[in-house]
Amino acid sequence: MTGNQHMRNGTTLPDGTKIEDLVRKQTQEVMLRVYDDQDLHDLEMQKVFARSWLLLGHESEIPNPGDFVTRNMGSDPVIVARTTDGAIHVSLNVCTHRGMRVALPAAGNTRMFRCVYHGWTFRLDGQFTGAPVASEQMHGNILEASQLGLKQARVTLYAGFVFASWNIDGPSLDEFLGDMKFYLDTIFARSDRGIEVCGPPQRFIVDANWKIASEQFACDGYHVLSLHQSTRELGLRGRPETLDPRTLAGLYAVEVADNGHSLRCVNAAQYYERAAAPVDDPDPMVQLSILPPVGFTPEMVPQLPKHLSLGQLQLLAKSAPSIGSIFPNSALICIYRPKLGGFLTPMMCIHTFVPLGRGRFEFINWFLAEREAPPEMKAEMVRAGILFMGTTGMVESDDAETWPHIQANAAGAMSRQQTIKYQALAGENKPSDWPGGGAVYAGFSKDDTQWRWWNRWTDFMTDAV
Amino acid sequence: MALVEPLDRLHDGCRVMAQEKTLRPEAPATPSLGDKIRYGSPLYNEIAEFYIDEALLLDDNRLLEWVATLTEDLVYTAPMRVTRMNEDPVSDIVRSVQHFDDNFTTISLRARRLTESRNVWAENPRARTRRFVSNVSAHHTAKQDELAVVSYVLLMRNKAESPNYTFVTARRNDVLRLVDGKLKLARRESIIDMSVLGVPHLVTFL
Ligand code: FES
Ligand SMILES: [Fe+2]
Repeated sequence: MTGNQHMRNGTTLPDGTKIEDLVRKQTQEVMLRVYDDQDLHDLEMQKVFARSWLLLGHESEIPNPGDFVTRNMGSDPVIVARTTDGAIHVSLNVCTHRGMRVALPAAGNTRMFRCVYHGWTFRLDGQFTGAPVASEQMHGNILEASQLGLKQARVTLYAGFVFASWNIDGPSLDEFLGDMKFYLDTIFARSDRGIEVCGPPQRFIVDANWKIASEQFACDGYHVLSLHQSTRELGLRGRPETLDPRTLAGLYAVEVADNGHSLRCVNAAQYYERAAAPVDDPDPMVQLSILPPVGFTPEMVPQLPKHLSLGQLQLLAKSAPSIGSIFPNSALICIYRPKLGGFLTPMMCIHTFVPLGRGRFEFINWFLAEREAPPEMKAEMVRAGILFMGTTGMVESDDAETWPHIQANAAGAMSRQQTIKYQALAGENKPSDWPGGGAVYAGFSKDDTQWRWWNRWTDFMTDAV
Repeated sequence: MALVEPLDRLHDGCRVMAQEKTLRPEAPATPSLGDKIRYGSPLYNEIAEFYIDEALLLDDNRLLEWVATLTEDLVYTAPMRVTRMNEDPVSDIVRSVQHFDDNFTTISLRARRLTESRNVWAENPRARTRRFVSNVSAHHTAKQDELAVVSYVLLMRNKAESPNYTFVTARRNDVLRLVDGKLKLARRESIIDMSVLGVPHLVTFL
């Protein structure tokens, strides 16, 4: 997909502004206008959301044949359904007859979809099966039945996550995830039975552009110091030194990025103080049996080498991938919430930020757990997640309150011309013993990975990918 | 300054939280209902007064005083709603994942964040709220000291310079317990009437 130079420089807004004018590579600035521009938003729906892989949910939400959920791919409604052979299909939720929404609820189980308007029916895989009053051939005689099915997205499952794309001949999901898959595997593909959702997702509305949330999860560790200061005050950041803002504990990490995706790898040693074994034991399994990966029981730890390479085990033991984003609009959190008194609570969430117009998005928040984890552990993970993340979370409520202010500012005649800055770059500095690929930034959480996010967005917007 | 001393107590709170067995059945067992408490009876009036006083404490952000009206075995939840067709046998009320799933310790933690931290950016400046509680119906239960009470709440919320209100409505399924002659809240399940919450967060208690 080497977009030719002509196309590359060809994306221009009606007022003559080019994407390159909005995302200024020389000075690492982005015009605030990008959050509040209807033309840009409409282009994004085509160039980003109709072309990228998008995370729609997890297969454990629809375990049985006939189960379905309705979701959105950008501005388009889709049905995610499991067919009788167990496969998952993603169909545009738009009747091919007169455009009615075919599946009305958020979730359900059915043998087929029947459009309520005139009663056309479709199979779980979207195929058209018939129009009422067959004798009158109400689907006409111009198109074959095979041409009247619901539009199909391309679907690939990764660790049970349902990814879909309208770019039917585009890059595979593996290519799309690139070097990040190595890291994502250490979270999602490391156990015999894999992960599952703990229930349907929390859903709520934020009056902000989807990019404001997405770029934050592209590893803005810096904001935690100020915006989430209250959790430090409450003593919820673990060891005493992490409670002292002068130590900046937790803000030094290793950030990795590829293809616009990124992850913060947090040094697990900060949790090890009370452990009996040395932190620098060369065998990662020693450390992993002291502090199992987030959501693992000690009994599950021996499964790890079956699924992960030595490099991945080392990463998990010393610098576990913890928080990050999957381009364009998904985010993940897989952390131990340190509890004082030597206890840790694991929590694992996935978010998507679904655009609802240029100034609003739906925040969808799934809580996850290892399928094999005991019910008490799953329940504890959900409760910890609810306390900190999502609709009532003590952390994410601060984010959701902040983003609409940025959105409002992006509408101002002067403010929309102001830029947001990504000028504090560390530059790639991969530690010599770092086991993974991608661009690697060790040290204080700086702007590198977020700047890469904007570059990836630019590539999509200018047809460079 | 004010945060230094209370933190120690919070640490203890965390220790308690860590040692607790947190598993709870899917749905809290519905208390078996006894006789209805008649509208306008002395006990009914006492219950109504509890809710009037509670709304005032919450709307005035006197959250630590409110916490004092909760029992230490509090269960405080808010299920989710998932839109399903009428004929779908699966309930649209979801308790596997909820909006709140809290106990006394975590509710206290939330209350302290909202009152003691200057850095609670979700609520600094805080929203102006008004809770309208109505449609109270109450029953005795099998436990002599516990009452099962259903109420409706309309929470109006205005934030910063916005000329608009956001609001949330819910049916609250409560258990009130008589402790030393005073009513305390032992259980609250707020069944919110929205599937997609129209607010950026719901840190406000219902
Ligand atoms: S619009 Fe669906 S059957 Fe006519
Ligand atoms: Fe945040």
